Amino acid sequence: MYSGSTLVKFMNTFAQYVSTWKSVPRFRLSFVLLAGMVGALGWLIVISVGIGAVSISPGQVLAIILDSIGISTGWAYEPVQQSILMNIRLPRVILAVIVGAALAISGAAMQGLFRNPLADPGLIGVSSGAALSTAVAMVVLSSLTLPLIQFLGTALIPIAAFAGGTSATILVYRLSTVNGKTNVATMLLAGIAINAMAGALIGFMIFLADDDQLRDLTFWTLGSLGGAVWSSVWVVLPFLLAAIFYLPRLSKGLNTILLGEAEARHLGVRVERLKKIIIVFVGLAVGAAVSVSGMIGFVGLVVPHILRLWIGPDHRFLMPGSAILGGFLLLGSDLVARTMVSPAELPIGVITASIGAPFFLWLLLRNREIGGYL
Amino acid sequence: MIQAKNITVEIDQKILVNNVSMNLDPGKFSVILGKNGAGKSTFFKTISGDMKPTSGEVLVEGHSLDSIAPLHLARKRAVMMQNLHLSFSFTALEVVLMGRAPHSHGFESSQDRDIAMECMRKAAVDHLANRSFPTLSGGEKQRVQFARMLAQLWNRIEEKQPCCLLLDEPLAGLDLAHQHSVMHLVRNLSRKNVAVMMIIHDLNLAAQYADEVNVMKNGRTFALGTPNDVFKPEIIEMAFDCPVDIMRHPHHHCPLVIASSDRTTFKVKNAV
Repeated sequence: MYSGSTLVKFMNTFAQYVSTWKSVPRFRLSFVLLAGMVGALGWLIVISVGIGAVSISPGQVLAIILDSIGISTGWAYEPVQQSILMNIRLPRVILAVIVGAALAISGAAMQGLFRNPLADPGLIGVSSGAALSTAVAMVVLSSLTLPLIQFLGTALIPIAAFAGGTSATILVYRLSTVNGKTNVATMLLAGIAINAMAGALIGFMIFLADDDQLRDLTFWTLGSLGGAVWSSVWVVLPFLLAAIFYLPRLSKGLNTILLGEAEARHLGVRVERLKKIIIVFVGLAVGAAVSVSGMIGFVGLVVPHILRLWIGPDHRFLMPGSAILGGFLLLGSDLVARTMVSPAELPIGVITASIGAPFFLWLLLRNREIGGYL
Repeated sequence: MIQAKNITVEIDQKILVNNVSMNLDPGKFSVILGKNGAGKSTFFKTISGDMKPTSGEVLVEGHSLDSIAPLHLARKRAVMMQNLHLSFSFTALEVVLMGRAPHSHGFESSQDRDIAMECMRKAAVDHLANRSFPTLSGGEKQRVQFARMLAQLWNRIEEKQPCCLLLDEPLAGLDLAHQHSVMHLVRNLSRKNVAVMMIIHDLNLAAQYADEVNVMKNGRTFALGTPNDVFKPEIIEMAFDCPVDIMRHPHHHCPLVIASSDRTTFKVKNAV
């Protein structure tokens, strides 16, 4: 991801340069950075729909898209380019951007809610719930010959993942809510228990699986956007967009929650309501994301972290910024995943984890030095 | 402004607060005193709404505390709690700006910023505005928090409308000069139609600045009245299990409490 990392480096330098410029308040700088990131994301979208076995130039990309919505440009392109762009690249790129955006924004929301910069949607068991139900669907259900399962066909896995993710969320939520009050610490511990339980059951499924199922399952847990088609995009789009566009509206409340739940209440925030909304939106978004792309780790954790270094902890910038940068990073990772060992494809989880894990360690070391979180 | 009527709090058959009543009126500076475990903080939490009393009720301007919309309440009542733990690097100014949250939609206006800076000046923390909050010292954090309370109630204070300020040990970690400057500021606020209730451990600060003192012991109100009424050796000795001498302050003529240290060790249980 040469061009991507150059950009990240450039933005980092830029941020450092501007932050030394004392007369500019942090929030004006944040606007500039967000605008820059939107531009970078647009640029990467155009680049990455053009890269692959059949290359399509940015001009041709524009021509094909304009033609398809009825504006004739007269620019030349081949029919195969059109069909690859519209049926293969575009759904995949769109899916990468919205899945990345939803995962990152969910991470930012969870970190705010738990008042802990190390929180992640995976923490409360959403991802592992989805993984477990997928394993069950792959190993047990797919070998049954029930009419319903025949009818669902290839949609079985996404539906199972979605159901598993949301039911894990509801379960964790129920376990940690007493008399309408959600205890965040209990929720974290319940998430750990659910992760462990799901891990054990997935292990059992692996034990039951035959060789083909084992391979499918392994690849699924590493994540991939290879299965992206328009139909799957349409199914998950509402859940992901709901999180991407609704969660930023809760930013101000989340800022006050960072002071403490009681403090937020004294500032007029309906804390219990806010917690419920965040959990529901994150559960739905992560369940939906896992259902189409498998397990993609570290995006939800790392993206808000990078942004806090740049623009500070204010959720009013952090949330939209996370969505943009999350989309950017997942799209970049997917580009690497599908081009690095072409014509084969690397699992995207391999890319995100190999970028994310060292970064996470670096954060821990850095925090140890400065004696605190970001 | 706020009435706490016959508050009793019982947890696991242990009575923490036993039938305590208190009126917080605009213009009055009330303090709660008492030794550790006397039930001060529990009583405070029932008034702030963080804990439900087992019996009794808290009324705000005649309405039950539960029936008031949180945002509405936040515009006329600020609560400063102990031990704020913030692990995210907001600047001190951003923390104070959060006090403007009940008054603004979306982003704060430049007017909100001006108010926040003015409040920081009053709390003598304006020079810390751009510092990261988690890197401040304990006393600086307390003063930034106090500035946040001022920012929250600013509109009401300016318009001399009644409002309420609840402070749980706001002086913890403050040096001598800042203890007095905060107490001074709080008393001036109370003169501007603010109802103040504060938990405090320093008897002499209470004697010098407060209008009303509620001394608690074993969950009950042990003595309630003006500092002159309450600061009597027999009351203070019983309430704190510590022998004291009470004198007159040489300048302010308010009571001055001095622990008789030579006798203290005999009264405190399990003293070495």
